Amino acid sequence: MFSTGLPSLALSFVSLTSFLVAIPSGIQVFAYLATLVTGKPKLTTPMWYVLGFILIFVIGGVSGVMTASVPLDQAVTDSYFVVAHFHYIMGGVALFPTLAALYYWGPKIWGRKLDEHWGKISFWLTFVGFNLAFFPMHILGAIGMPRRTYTYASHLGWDNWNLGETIGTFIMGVGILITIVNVVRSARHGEPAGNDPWDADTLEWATSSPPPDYDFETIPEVRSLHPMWDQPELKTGAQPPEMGGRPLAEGHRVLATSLLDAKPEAVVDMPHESMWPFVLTVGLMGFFYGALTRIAVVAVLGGFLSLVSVVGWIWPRGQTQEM
Amino acid sequence: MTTLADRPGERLERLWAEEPGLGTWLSTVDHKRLAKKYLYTALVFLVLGGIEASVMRLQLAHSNLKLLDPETYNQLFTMHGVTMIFLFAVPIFSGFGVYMVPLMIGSREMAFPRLNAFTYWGFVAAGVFMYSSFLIGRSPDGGWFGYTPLTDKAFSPGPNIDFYALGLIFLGLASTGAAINFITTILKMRAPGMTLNRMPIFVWGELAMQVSILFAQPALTLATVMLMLQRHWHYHFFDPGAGGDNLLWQHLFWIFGHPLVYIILLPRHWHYHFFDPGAGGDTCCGSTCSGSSAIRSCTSSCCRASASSRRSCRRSRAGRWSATRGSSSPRWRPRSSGSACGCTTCSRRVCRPWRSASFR
Repeated sequence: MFSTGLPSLALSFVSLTSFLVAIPSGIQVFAYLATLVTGKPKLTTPMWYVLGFILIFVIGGVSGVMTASVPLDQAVTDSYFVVAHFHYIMGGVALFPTLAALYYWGPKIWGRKLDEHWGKISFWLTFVGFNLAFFPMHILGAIGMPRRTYTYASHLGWDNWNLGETIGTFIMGVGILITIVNVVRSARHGEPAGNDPWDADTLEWATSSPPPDYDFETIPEVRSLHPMWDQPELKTGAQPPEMGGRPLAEGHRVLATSLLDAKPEAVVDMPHESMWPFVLTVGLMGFFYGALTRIAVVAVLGGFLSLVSVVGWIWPRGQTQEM
Repeated sequence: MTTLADRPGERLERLWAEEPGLGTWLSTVDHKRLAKKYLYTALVFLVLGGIEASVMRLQLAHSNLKLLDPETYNQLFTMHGVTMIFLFAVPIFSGFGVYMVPLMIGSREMAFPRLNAFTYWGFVAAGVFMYSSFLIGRSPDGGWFGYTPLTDKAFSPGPNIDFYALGLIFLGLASTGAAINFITTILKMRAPGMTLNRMPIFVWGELAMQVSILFAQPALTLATVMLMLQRHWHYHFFDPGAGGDNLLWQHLFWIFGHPLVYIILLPRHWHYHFFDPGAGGDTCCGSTCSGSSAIRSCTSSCCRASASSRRSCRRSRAGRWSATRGSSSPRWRPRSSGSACGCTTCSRRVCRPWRSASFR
């Protein structure tokens, strides 16, 4: 946006606010570090991904502060420097927690732990590959390689950097594929996880892994920020009614509570499986293909099917009971 | 305990079980089944986007390679960006959220189970819609940001950009629906006693993400509708020659695009959950810092969505607010002024009244 010809007052304002973004982000990083330093972290696979994430977030943050400066941004705009910055911020920051989440929540979702050994191999390949793929882009951008070009001339001295990036991309690809294969394999053959393999504090670990269709045998009453640590009765699988658990087993029901204090307000009958959402999607698909090909009949039919499915969807059914 | 628990369990199983079979595969409203579908689908899109990236990197491995022609390269980098951002990075944490949020808040379902099914199918359909452009070799080629005038009829006469614009409108319907579903679930379906103060940090991250989507997504949806109107019905929103403004597209796109960074980032705050069990000691620090930083992030991205400039200064003000409340004190406070015996349980207890006060 700095190179679009905005007036200089707008430029200063945008630049200032861009710089200010560094403050909360910096606090965030110090919060991560303080937590690590004050605790006794275990170097499991998810933790490795978190450590990798912090480093990538810092590198991407530093190049972000650099691009917040108007003169520097005007020099590197539309170059590979920008590509490097947003791949660190949007790529690494999206990818690493995702992989960590697969290792962390995999035991809950599939009932089996993911393989730690291959997990760590996957982390190191992904991490090394990621940095090899994207760090040289800073340098290429600084020496002038423009983004969105499909090739470049040989006398510019960009070949080796680019070759390194390509190699890094493939190393990273292998690392990600190892995790995907690990998920597929461990979901069937992994070590059974038990309810709470991490000794974590939140309620999802109170259920079996994977959870039953109804999630909780009794809707628990929460008395702590760390219910699984402070309420030992949750570890037994179901909070007994005398401790506050509500079975709510008279129907296909959930409990609605108040917004701030979570006081029980109503028992809500929930809908059973329904084809209408899928039919609505098919109708919309028809509508959008009709709009794309500009064949009115397809669009009208798709729109009509969508309307029909909305009517079917909202047709009256259950009821809500006030408490 | 067991006799007490068993009978309601069986009855609940009958009430909540879904018939197995292909029909149920299409009609399921169970948040866990839908979440797994979200995860698998988003991982497929990750692989597709990765293949596109690999092909581009092969083309760039050396100067003057002729693996791709410029037009194909444009299509690949556009679809790589669209895939990784819209079809992988955002949906995969919707997937984790659809699975974990009802469990974390002690509920049995999302607030609107059928809307949940629709937003999943809408996400798949929008992805299939955009990828079907490869079948005719006319994929979007204007970059994932789709800047005008490159995406206008004059410079991109084919259907490429129509796939992009219509696909994003479709995806926008799904994302907005998912945002409403998440916000309602988190605010209205928490287990009794789980006040906002006691809500896990991941749920805060998900709430902040979905509120940001609710504010940001309509800007993109409207901008793409305007783009379609301009391309096919002779409107001039982005045409300076007829009194429009090219920059208008960029502003509208980045009103969506900058909150998007936080939409991607915020739910990933959950990694505090590793720190907590791994920490084994002083848990106050992690949870309190992360709690306040999620609120800060929430405030900031909502504000950013409403600001038309690139960055909103209210963001950093919110950040400082949280710095004084969240980050500066909790590390020391529970230890120095906290428990007499020094054990973690006591320090957590002592910390609690102070913490609840700080959010009111």
